[in-house]
Amino acid sequence: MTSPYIAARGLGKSFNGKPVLAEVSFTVEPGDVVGVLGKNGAGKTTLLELVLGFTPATAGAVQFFGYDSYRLPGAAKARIGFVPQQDELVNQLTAADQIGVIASFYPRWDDDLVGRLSREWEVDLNQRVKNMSVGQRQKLSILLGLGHKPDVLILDEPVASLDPVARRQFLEQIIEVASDGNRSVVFSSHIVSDVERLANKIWILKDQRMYWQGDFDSLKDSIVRVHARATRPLPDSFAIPNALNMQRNGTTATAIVQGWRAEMHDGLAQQLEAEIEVEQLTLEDIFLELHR
Amino acid sequence: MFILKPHSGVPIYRQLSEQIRRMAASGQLPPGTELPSIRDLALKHAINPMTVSKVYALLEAEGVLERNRGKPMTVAKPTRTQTPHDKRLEQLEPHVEQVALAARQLELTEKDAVKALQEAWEKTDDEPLHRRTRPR
Amino acid sequence: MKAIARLIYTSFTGTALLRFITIAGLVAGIGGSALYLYLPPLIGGSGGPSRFSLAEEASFRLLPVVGLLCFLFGASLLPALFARLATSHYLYVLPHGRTKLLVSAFVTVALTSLFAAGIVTMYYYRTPLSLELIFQRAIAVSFVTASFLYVVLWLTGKSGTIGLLVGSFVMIATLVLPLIFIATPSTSLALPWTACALLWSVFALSFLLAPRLKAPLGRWRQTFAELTGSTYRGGGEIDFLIGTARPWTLAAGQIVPIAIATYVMRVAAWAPLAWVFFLTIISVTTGAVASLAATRGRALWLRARWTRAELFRQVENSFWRYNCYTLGVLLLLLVAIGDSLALPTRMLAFGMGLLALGTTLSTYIGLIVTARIGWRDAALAVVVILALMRTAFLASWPATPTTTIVSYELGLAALALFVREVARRRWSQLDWMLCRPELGVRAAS
Repeated sequence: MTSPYIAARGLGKSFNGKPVLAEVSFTVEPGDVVGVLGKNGAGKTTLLELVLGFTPATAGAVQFFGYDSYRLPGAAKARIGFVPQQDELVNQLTAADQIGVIASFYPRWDDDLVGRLSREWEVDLNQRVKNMSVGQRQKLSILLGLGHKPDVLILDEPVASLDPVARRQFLEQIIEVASDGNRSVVFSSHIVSDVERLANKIWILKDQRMYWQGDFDSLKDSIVRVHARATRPLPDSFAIPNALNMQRNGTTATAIVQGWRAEMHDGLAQQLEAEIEVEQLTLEDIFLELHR
Repeated sequence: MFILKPHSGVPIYRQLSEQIRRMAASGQLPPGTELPSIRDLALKHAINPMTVSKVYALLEAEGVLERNRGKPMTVAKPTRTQTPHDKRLEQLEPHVEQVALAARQLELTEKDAVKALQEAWEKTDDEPLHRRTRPR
Repeated sequence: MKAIARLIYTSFTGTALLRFITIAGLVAGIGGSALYLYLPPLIGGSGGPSRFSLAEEASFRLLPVVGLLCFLFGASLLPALFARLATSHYLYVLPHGRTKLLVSAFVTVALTSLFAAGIVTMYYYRTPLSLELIFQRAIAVSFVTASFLYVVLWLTGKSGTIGLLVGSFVMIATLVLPLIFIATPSTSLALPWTACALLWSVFALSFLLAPRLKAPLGRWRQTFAELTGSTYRGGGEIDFLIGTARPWTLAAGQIVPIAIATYVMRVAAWAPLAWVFFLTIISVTTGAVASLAATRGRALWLRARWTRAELFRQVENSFWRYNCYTLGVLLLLLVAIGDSLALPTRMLAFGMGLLALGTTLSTYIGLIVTARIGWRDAALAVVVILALMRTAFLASWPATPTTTIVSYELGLAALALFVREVARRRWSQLDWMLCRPELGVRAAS
């Protein structure tokens, strides 16, 4: 059992006495693609900043490659790639120069990869950064995170400004990275459909806590929409166990149920004296229902 | 080769594994057919390669696929002649239930539903996608 | 009309702090003037009996000036507001947006210069000079000065809050100009009014015609950037990320205000006293760049192999390479000016020391900004600048004993070491969550 790349236990961060993140524990194993979801302000960026050592934790601990994140040594940093939400590009430089400046910090840099991707993604290397559109800047930022072939790639809203074609190209690149079973990716995104395609682990942050985390497939299996249809109008006391919310309408009821297992189907049908139909939800539906 | 819908409620791994099982069972993927590599399949459908790897591993354990050293995954020779008839019927069930439910909701009769099914049967027979010959 | 009034109102009262300062300025200015005018004549210091102590009289005398400074500073939001709106897309879609913005800027500057002229005139109330004459001169000069000062504020404001602080001190320094012009009635008014008319016409025309000029200007800028733009030729990566890659910009940029001031000072023969003082203030502008180092250092945390402590040392070295240029230019200027104005050698010697100290202190004060600027940091910055100004005054006064100046400069050196230690300690615990880039401040070399 290889040790996880990132491990956090009881991680918390307070700012001016106000908690911004609390009681977060997780691991990122080699080969994971983790999707981080959460409403704005739920603590996604704070979580990533804690993991990368930009800011010290006020509670608990987080370790990257076994080192305390706040005191990451140089050798560990060379294996990490980060694409921040707000780009940190230098306006006056051309894209080629910008890449050159960043590349000089790393012992190994794949010029061929960056060259090929800049052509495929249509990033003009001779253009000055300040003349680039937001989408171009974002693509350049992503390239800067990929060039040194990091073992762990962390991205904060990497595709917010990209058109669907560019997003698909980005997805494909992430798949390439993930295909090497020893590299991991952690990315936070509002574009739930992208997360749905790529992630094998999902972290849902809600109210500054880790509301749900785990295998993506089991998330989809465990949160379902249950439709109940009875022959007689449903009594007032009608309730579906583990329901997050329920709507009733005469003889039918619909509820979002958490922790669903297939075996529960027959038992529930009998218990409620109704026909039960189980509908599986898309990730976006799940996210919306959890925040209703 | 496969039709995957990442945004339907059904998890991708289940969609893929069911399709492979179905196609192997019905002979649409004859034994010995090479399946795409994990990376290629993931890239083509823009899905997580771990999902593909999970499906391949699962189906290898079930005996549907077999791994060859240095070569891509292939469809296994069926150990029992083919998937038994009732097992195949079981796989058809959920789809037929959907049809029945839709018909009921549209307030159509059982006869209407059966007729529609027959028409669909005729229609799919003419599709050039089916390359294999069906035993008549 | 409403929009213009709103813009002017926002320039003076945009933030709670500015609102307070504007009102304080108005109260101090008007109240102080009233006190000055209607109290029995202040004759303390001339040997006669007086109702007030010297200190009280001094504060009465200075209160209106303080009020004026507060009022001027209270409108300091104007340049930032103007710059932001001018470059936004709003201006293209709002009806008559450009004209209204231009008019509001003009009116704000006019208001502050009227206030300044009023206060200056008030001071000459009991003198035999004609008040009308004084007012005419005052308004001419203060209008030019105010326009120039807001431009300075805009430029320094772009580099963050410390820059603004520095800009306000430069503002105080250049307030010397109106007083000079008024005190020497022989100088013609034509100069300031022509300068003013020219400045505003050029500014107004280019601003209003900006949409049409954008395309050709864009091409000019491209060529200019290619000629002078920073190109990466290997080495000095940290400079690009921290913002110290183009020292010549600041070095050359310092020459302009010094040239203007030299010309004016020559005319008014105030040179020796004000010169070292002025140069010292200018040496403080490096702090504006340094104050952004911590924020920009974010990009280096994950890239470079350094610990936070090593990062500080590398950034410090980067600034010293940068400062060599600016300090070098200033030292040369000091010697050149001192030579042409025949300033005493002692003043030059101490002046050079002061310039070096000013640059050092401002760099380290910039580096201690590792989070939002608290009142402690602001107080330290103010203390340092005042100490520099005081030493500059002392150095340029021939009567000051050498030992006093030496002890002041040694004290400043010790202060520099102290500030460095504070900066070093803060950087070893840098928390980038507290150190976010301000909106609109992009990394620039």
